[in-house]
Amino acid sequence: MSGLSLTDLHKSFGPTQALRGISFDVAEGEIVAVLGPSGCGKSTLLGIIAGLEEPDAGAIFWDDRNLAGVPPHKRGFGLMFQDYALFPHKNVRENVAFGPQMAGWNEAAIRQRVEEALILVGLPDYGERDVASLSGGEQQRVALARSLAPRPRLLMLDEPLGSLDRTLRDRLLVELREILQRTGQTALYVTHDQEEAFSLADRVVVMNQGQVAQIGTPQAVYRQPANPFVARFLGLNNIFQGEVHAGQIRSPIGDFPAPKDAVGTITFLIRPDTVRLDGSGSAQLKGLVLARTFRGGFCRLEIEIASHSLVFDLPSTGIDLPQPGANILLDYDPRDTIQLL
Amino acid sequence: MRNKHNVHLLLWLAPLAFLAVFYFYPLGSILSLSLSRSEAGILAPFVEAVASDSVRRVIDFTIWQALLSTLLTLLLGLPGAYLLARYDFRGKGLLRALTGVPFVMPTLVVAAGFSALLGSHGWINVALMRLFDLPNPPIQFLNTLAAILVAHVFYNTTIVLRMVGDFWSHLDPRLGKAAQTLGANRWQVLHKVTLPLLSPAIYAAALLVFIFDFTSFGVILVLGGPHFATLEVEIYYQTISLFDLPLAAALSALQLSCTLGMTILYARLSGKISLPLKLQSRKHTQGRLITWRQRLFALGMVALLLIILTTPLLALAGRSLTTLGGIDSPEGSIAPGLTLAFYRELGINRQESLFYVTPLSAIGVSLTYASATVILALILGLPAAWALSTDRKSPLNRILDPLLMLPLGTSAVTLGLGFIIALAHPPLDLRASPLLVPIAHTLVAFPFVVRSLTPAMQSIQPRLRHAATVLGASPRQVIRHVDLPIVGRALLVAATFAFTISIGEFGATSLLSRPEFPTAPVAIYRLLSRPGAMNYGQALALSTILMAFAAVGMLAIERFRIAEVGEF
Repeated sequence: MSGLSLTDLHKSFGPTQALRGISFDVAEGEIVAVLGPSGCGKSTLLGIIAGLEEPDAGAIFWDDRNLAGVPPHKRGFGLMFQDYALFPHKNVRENVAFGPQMAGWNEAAIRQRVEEALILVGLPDYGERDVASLSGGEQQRVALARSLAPRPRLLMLDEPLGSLDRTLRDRLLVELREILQRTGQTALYVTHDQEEAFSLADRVVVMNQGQVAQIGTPQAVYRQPANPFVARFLGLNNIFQGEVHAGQIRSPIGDFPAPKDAVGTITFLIRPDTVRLDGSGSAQLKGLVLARTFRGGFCRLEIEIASHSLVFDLPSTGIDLPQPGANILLDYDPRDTIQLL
Repeated sequence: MRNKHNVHLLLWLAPLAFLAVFYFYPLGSILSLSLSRSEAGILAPFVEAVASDSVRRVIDFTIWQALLSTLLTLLLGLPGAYLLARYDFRGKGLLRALTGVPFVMPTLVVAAGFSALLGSHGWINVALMRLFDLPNPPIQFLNTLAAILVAHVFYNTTIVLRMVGDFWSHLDPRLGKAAQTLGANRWQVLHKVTLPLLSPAIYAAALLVFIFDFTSFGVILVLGGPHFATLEVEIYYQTISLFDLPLAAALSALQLSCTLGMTILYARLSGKISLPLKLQSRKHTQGRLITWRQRLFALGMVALLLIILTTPLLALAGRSLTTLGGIDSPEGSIAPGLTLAFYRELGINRQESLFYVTPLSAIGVSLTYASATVILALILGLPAAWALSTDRKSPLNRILDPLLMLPLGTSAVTLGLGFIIALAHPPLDLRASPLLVPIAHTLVAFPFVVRSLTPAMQSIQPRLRHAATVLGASPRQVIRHVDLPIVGRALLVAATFAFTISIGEFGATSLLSRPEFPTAPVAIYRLLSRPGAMNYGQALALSTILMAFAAVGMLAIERFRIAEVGEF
């Protein structure tokens, strides 16, 4: 295939296994986000793809060519560091020009490319600034311009928005997506923030303890988390085990129709946004309201069902929601039950 | 792992060998010489020395003047630190830079500066004599305790301003406000909150000032005159005039144990400064000058600082260009007014002069020694800084790092004496070697060089290299475009430190320099200690040239230092 291909990458540091058999592809022009909690091996993965570190086993291919033995500076991959790693002895222009210079472009081409890159990130007049004088957000843009300037065939971004405050992050996220899409840049984006991953990526690779937990489009991953880890990581915590008997799940929170093909003991998830109060569901969940939190567009209810605590989100407009301490009857469509592995 | 260890050892080899031969061996020789004098036990020579009245007087005076100087320095420095820490005003950057100037000035330049301001041929006395038609200078400043104290305050106020001021500027002012809301008045806030919080910085600064005053040499020798001797000066006299090397060695050993003790204490204290408090960005701690009281305080403080810290140097430069006719040159050879005569005279070798060389050639000697010092200090400092920067926490580095700083706490005269005792006979006879002085200067400069190089080297490992690599730089290009430029600037800073220290160094040089090759400070000392307006004028002219070198050095250091990297 054309693009990046990882097959069964392993890497250990002493007794710690950072990567345990990572395989996935990034097609040309695609933006893939690697999503996972800190310490799951994301940054190690980037280092290995960039060639800064050697894998213990497994291989990296670009357009079906094995990159083993190709030194990092000949891979044509860009890497934007979490802390930017701007050169303190060079000004903004010199930082951005560094990549094209190394690639041996001629002066005019470099000048034009630096200008383009700075315009692209919204800092057209910043060329002569000292990097130490820049704010966090500006440094982030310069780092982006610097990694885009040599036109890398793959751009890797390591938590590029991690150290910025919320509002700035939201704004830069939109700009970043626009820039990556406009330039058709193949990108691998590492983050621990699901919102970032979902709003930016064509596909998401969820990682856990050095292994791939799930791969899919953001919608697919959110709608159908593959396993309890992914579900919990996405903030979906209504997870239970039950026994399937004759098409029915018998579970601690009640009995209701099982998903198709389910047999034996299964783990399942009830998504918080799948219940209603309009009597339309084919199944009911009966419980006691423990807490109610207004969240703007919806209300979050914490409900105790058979001494288990579940969380549901209900529209905050329209119906009056019951107070804490009141009993509640939730309508539920068993077809929304998601079986986890 | 093993391999890494070996690399470290290899890097340490040259610096350690240097320290062993030129620091520990001379100091050990001092110790063994001071002990050899007596069979009555290890402490006998020291007991004997301390028991003698004259030595006791010297010790008492050394401590007394250092205590007084430190107190006076704090008296000026603490309000100044408060001003710089808590207020933001126009010209503050300039003020800060100006207050840094005295620190890099050679002692002889400072001594000459005070002489030009307050000496019998200085501005103030000359002005008073003209005004009131007096036959003799009315103010007797030179050769008094006051001269010593004022010069020490001039020198060390910067330390208090920087150390306490910097710390203070990061202290959260809301702590004081919180105390006020809890019912404390202004003095209680100062007493119960501010001073306790500042105390580690104040103690550290005071101790450093005390160490510098305790080991002060040039200032006391020139401004104090023959009546005042600190340990340092006494060691010099015993060595140069009385040739009593064993007594000098005993005094050196005594002084060494004091300074080393204080240096260790200082290292402990300065470690505390960076510890437990939540430090605030300066943006939140500094206000404008709003009330009249604040403005008056600021105005007074700035004026006081400027007067004390700049007038001696201005007086020096001005006086070196001025002749006062009758008073100045009884021979009447020069008319009153502006003149370049003193500078011209620097290049002329007068027959009747005791010099074998012209004063100007002393500058040449100084520059040669300084260049040699720069080369030596970099050759030794680079591998040490490299080893330190690769793995700060390795056990080897943890032991060796403080070892490198030891020369900082050792007085220069003691170093010089150690050289005379240890390196004047086989197996190492360097008496005639032109390298003796640069080697001594290298020892003094070494801690500064290592301290400027290490942070820069640390800053490029390894993320900047990775960034360059990923952008397509080959290993060779990484060295050329990342390592060299960054370390290059730090190298420049380190080289300038070594250079500036070398051209100003007087303590060790006064013992080691050969009569036919005096350095500039030695030449200034000789000129100042001889009578006559022409000698005086030449001393000032030579001092002014040296001052210019030191000032340029300091500017260069400020300029080439990379903002993100390296602090001193």
